[in-house]
Amino acid sequence: MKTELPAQLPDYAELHCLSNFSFLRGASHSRELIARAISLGYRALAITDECSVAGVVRAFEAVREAKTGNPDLDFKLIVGTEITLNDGMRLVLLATDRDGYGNMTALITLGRRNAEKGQYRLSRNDLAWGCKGCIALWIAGRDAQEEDGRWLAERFPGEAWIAFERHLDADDAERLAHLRRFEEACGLPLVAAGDVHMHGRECRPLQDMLTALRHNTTLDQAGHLLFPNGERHLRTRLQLARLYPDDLLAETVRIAALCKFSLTELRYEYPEEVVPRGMTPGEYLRQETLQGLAERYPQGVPEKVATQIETELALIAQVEYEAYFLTVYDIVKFARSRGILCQGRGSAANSAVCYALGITAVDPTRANLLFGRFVSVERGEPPDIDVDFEHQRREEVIQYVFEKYGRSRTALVATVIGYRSRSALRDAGRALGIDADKLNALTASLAWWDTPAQWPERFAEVGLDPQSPRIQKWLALAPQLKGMPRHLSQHVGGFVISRGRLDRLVPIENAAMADRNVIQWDKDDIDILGLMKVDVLALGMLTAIRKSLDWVSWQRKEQLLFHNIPKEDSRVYDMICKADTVGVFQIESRAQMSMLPRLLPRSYYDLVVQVAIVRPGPIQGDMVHPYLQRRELQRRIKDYTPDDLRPELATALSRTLGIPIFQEQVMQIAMIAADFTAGEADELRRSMAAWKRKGGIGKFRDKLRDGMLKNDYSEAFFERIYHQMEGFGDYGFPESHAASFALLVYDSAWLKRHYPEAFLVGMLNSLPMGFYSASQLLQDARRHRVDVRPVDVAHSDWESTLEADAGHARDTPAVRLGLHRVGGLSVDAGQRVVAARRQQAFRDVADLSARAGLQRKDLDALVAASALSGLSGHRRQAAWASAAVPVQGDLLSALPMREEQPALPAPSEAEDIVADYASMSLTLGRHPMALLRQPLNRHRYLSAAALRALPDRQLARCAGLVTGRQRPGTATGVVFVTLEDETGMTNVIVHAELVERQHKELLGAQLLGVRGVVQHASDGDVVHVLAQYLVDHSELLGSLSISSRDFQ
Amino acid sequence: MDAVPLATVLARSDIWRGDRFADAALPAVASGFAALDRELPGGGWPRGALTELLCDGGGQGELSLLLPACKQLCADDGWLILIAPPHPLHAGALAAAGMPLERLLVVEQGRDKKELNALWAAEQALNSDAPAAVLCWSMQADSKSVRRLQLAAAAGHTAAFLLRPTRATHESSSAVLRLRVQAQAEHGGTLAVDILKRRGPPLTASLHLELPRPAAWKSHGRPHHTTSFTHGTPLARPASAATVARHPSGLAAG
Amino acid sequence: MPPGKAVVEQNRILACDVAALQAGVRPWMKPALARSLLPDIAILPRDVEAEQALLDTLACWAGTWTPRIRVVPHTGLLLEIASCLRLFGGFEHLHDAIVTGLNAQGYVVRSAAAPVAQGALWLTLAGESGMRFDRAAMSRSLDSLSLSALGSELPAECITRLNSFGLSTLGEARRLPHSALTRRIGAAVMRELARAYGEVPDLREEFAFPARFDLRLELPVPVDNAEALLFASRRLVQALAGWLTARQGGVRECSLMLEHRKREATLMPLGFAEILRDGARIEAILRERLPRLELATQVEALRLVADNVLALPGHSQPLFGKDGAQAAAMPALIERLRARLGEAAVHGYAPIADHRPECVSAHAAQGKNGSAGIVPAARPLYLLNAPQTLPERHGRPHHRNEPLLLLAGPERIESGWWDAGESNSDGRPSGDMRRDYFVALAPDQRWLWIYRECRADFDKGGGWFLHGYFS
Repeated sequence: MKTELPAQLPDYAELHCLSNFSFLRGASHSRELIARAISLGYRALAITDECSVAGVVRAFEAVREAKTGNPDLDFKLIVGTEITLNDGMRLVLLATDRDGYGNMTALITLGRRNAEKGQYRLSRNDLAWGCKGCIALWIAGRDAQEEDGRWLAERFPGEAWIAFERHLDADDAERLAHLRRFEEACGLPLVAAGDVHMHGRECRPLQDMLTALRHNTTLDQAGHLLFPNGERHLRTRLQLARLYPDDLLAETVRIAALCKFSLTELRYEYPEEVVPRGMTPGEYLRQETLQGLAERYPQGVPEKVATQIETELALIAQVEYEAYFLTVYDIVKFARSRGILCQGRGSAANSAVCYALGITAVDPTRANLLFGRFVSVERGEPPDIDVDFEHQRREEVIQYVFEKYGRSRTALVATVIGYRSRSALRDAGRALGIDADKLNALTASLAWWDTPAQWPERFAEVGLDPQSPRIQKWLALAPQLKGMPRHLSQHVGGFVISRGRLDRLVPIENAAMADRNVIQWDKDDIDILGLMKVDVLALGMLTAIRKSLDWVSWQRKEQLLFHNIPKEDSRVYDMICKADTVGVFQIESRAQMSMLPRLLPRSYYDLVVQVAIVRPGPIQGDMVHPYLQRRELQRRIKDYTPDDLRPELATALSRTLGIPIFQEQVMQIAMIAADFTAGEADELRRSMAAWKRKGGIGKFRDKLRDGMLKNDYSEAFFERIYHQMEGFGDYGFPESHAASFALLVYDSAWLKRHYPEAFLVGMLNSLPMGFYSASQLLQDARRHRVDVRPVDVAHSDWESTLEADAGHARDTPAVRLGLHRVGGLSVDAGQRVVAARRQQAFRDVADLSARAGLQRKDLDALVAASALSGLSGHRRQAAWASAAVPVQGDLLSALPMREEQPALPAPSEAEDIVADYASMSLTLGRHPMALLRQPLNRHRYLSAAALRALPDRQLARCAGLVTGRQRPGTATGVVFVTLEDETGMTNVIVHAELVERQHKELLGAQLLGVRGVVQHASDGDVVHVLAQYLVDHSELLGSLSISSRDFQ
Repeated sequence: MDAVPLATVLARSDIWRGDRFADAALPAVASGFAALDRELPGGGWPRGALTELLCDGGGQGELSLLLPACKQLCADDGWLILIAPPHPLHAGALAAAGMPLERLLVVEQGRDKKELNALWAAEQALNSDAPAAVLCWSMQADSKSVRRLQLAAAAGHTAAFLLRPTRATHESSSAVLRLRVQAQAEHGGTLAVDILKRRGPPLTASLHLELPRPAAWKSHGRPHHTTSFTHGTPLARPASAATVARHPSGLAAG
Repeated sequence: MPPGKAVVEQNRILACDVAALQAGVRPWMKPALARSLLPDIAILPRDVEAEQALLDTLACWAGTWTPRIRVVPHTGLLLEIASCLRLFGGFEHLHDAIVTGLNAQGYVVRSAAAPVAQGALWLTLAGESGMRFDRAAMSRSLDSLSLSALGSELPAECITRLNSFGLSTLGEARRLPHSALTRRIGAAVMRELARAYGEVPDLREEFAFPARFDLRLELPVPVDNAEALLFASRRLVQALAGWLTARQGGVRECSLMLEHRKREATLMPLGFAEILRDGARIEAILRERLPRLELATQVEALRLVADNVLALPGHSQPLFGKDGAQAAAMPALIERLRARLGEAAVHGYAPIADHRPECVSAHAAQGKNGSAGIVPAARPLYLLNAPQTLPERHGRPHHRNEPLLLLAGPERIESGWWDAGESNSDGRPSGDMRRDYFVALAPDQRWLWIYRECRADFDKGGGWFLHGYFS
């Protein structure tokens, strides 16, 4: 092609570029912008998101990777931000050095903290002294005034420029002439800039769509809110040469050279106050570790542990992480001082040091784990310790952290909330002006498991023509919208704590919750920059265990501590093997329960495997069945060792019988079998962890395959490992986490096995948590012969309790349901009732109402729960009596009235059951299904118990209340339904084809009848029914209708 | 309530205003071009009378010439009716020129080009005395129809304009005011206006009116720019953006 | 299967049609579940105002039978018929006539008759139809009513409380000691009960027929055929007839307005040679007129307006500016011009905000106050409907065989991808455009707006086009 090129392409640095972290403005990921800028030969790119640096670490990461691949690359990332002052003045600030960066983040923080979440507000007053160390580009609008330029020139002496941004508007020439006049009048030089909103012109539709969404309008209506063309992209230098005068282009490079700041300069400084005065962090850590060790091993520290401690302390010293361990230690110490149960997990958590410091309970002598190094010297990544706390008391810990380190030094890590399939589809449709009704219908009909490939089918179902141009665009754009960040939210519990002011390290924003602040980076950003975070997480099971233990201690009349629960009790494992695990931590789900009788865990480490195996990684890697087969062999053959385990993999795989189960093992395989270096393996780990952010592990595929084939591994083995890695990308679950979780599995199972009453109380008092409802837990406990007594104002506390009375036949205590089960009763009112009763027993309902200061709704709530039966008889009598009782705030509180009690008939059993469910979501009466046994028998439906007695593959019918429907992501199209009746639960498997055919019954039925084939799991008590036909029998419930647990 | 605004009183032709057209002046609305207003009896476009504008084709600048006055008239709740304009109008540009669109009515030529319809519509509009201004384009108007329009206009208050091709220059006309307008290159794209007929002394010299145009366009229109542009690289062949010449200002297409 | 319909309130289905019932949809379901059962179901929010308006319409219509009517808000109508039973040939005949009349308008009716208004209402609500001739019969029927059937009449809290005592019928409640019950459910509710049984008089206000008849009827689906319009307008005409009866008057003229989406309503004045009250004759006129009506677009609602014969014309004089007095004559002028030249030839402009030049003007029925926002750059006053090709010679665009001088540009316009490939009704061009616009000086000194068509990547030029004249 004959073209006249300029003699030389000009150098260029783009100084004004928004990523998609300028929410609903920028249309490109930082990664795409960096890649394009590098390929165009730019000298530098400034990421200048609007009052934000949230996208800059991703850009930093992309540049770092590009430089790894090409060490000669001359390309610089500039950190900046675009701000619009409240009077309309628009500026881009670029950090020239560390101090300037700190001033900039402080300014962003100021703006963000002055406004509601997601907004910012800055005025000229906030820039009264400029922003030292930052270069300011004035994005002068068409109505810009000279005096604005002079104001800016005074605030940024020698550091302010006027940006001329040319996008082929009609008045480009006039604007340039106009700005040239300012240049002289204000003494501000001109520079070229691009106001880049996307990496390439091809993103224009997406950018238009974001604009329409930002203005809450449709594309058809958006009009001039949209940009008139697609010029706001990274243009070639050839184009730039034609668009801008040479001097303006040269100026960009000059400015870029002035911006010397790099994110690598950010050095994290640990808080100082975790170390007592006069000690170094190292000394103090050693002192506390040794002291803790002595308490852990009163009989003397085992040699092996002592050695390990020394190794670990040396390593910690080498990477200077003492302060980090001490910070976590400090928080854990606080929790323990308050009696708040907590437990650490993560690679660093399972170290001997953490065991000594009480951060974790994984005893190094007991665990046969072969963890890799818990911190890696060459990777320089911060250690990873997540600490779980009792969920009802985590707030105390959070407030402690805020108070101890102060709000200017502490904030939560952000979580980036982005478009997901459904929201992307919805918003893309909204922007394209798809009729709201159709949109609703579509999103309602979309099952959560549908993949984009199935969308066209769903469109057709709601009457949208997938072939129409509009719908085609919808289908094309929704996937592009998916993954775009929408706003920042707070991470569940990741804290950043700094030594100095945190806002000079990273901007801080307001969170949705009052009194919470979040930084603008998420945990991956933190990870990449090597900053430290402490995870303060909430775990319901810890609450339940602590509360159960309190009651066990009460029962045994001696304190039983968390750490003193007897280990490796074979009766506990017997129970687990039978999948009798309703309420037990982690292994209570449908999928877990069906695995238990096959895996047959008999030891702590088996539980570690059990917790990790029912996850996408092992399942997609097709590792489950091979592992189960080898378990079987191991049980049958004494001293079984897998014969095909290659010696070099033994260290990595022998503990799991040669089958990789954990993420750590897969990493080790990559290093051993495919010759990955530690650095490459680490890169692989990051890619697995940050699946969505980095677009998968595809780039490692070839290297992994070549390496493994070269070392004589089979193609099939490679495929499985690769799929497993992909699975970990969806949901990584490392061994280090499983190890900590397995402890809680065992502890909760032990409680359930030996103290089912205390366990039930602990669970009831910790709800909502876990997998089962109060009713299901209660049913299960009663099947285990636990005596449960009803709520009664004469006996119940606010929470559920254990009751032992002399007259009781059994020596085990009974569970007394607490007033907390009473729907609609406020905590305050409930506690007033308990307090008033402690002073004196209630005479009658009027006495109760008066002394507990009850309101009408409290009284009604108590009547509905039948909690007044001790005072006034059955529910209806209680209702009659309480209806006439004067209540708090009643102006007509008359004198006690003499009146005759009319004869009110007692409610029927069914009525009581319905009323129980309505008020408390549970009943102590018979199971509702028991009442329906007769009609069910007529339909030849068997009970869950009867079903269990049937032989494998027998045709049978069963029916029950639908208590759960689940669609695991791993089982293609299958829906698991849990049916409950008075004898237990039945698991029904509905295949995809039947799901499609009997959609209506599957989704609509409260009482579901199933015809199907009985399937026994290999051995054990779990029975499945493979459904062939479904019948909706909800009509049998009649007035018994009870709300089932909702979907998912 | 019934007080007559002073401007209305002053606009009446029978009230002496002390300028040289006084005895001949009709009520008028300022054209927005001072140089022109000085030469028009009454200091502007006459109301209650027909003005004839001779110009060829659309786009000489005739709309820019008339719009300031129309804008003025519509500002007081008056209506503007455009009858048979030679090309469709651009609503955005009209709005940008300050025309309140809610006071604008267009009567299309119609596909069958029934000229008579346009003249009929103009007459109806003038007879009704409803619009404040009427612009009617006609290729075929003859002296008879001009006369009818003038009569209709004279009975009311409407500022009436008939736009005809310049070949009608020498036809007799009963319009009270006749002008010929033409775009011209000199003076950076101005509009040349010749007043052919007015009540008052004849005017022989052409007026050159500055139309509201971005200054940047005009500077490019100067002859030396013309040459610099033409001897640059061809603009579109070979078909590549790379061939576009640098403009002296430093701006070119990308 | 015909698509079903359901009305939703507070995210629960309140009522649904037969098609929906057949698909398994039930009241109290959540809309999402209903949709999964019947994907095409139209879910409509409850429109209380529309319900009330409908009751008012029917009250007018019922004026045909009796002037004493009560509208029970959101519920139904109470007609006092004792005084007119003989006039209409007894209960059976009257009842048949009313029910048939309502059925003809497309309504399904539930009704009951009793000596006490409130009692009749409660029986109706509970589905206990029929006539109770004496108080004793009515009381017996009321006694057996389920409390839950009176959800709209008694406070929910009261019903819940009575249920909590184990009571399920009115009779059971009334058998309890009066004072004890009053203490528990309050005197107000007890008074309601007494009113239903006719133990205390009912003094609530009757329906006041409006002075001016103005009723609007929203059509369930947009309609463009005369037959459907006739059917729908019958409801309004019947109501007018009832209203006239109740007011003991007639009209000489009324107007029917056909409302469209985003367009002015089509007005159809109906004049009668004499003063009329008879609905059938008005209908006959409509049957003549409606089929001849040429509808530009579908009708979304109908409105029938009739002023009292004695009433003065209702509209007020608008305020006029200086030229406004003249402007008052504009509507008549516009009508005259349209009558001769046709609707399409006489129009205003409504500016539309769009970067694509072709899309910025839409014809508006009359002058419209548009909100185009700021026009981004100087635009020509004349914009050609169809851009004209300009030949290119020596790399330059030519107009009338002379080279054009480019004065300004390029201005790049690249927009509109979202409606590409769609045909649209109002003639606006659609689709993605990529153009570089220039201001050019023509040899005849006219200023032109021209553009060069661009390919997707802007590297290859397309042809040149003339698009407008600055004037």
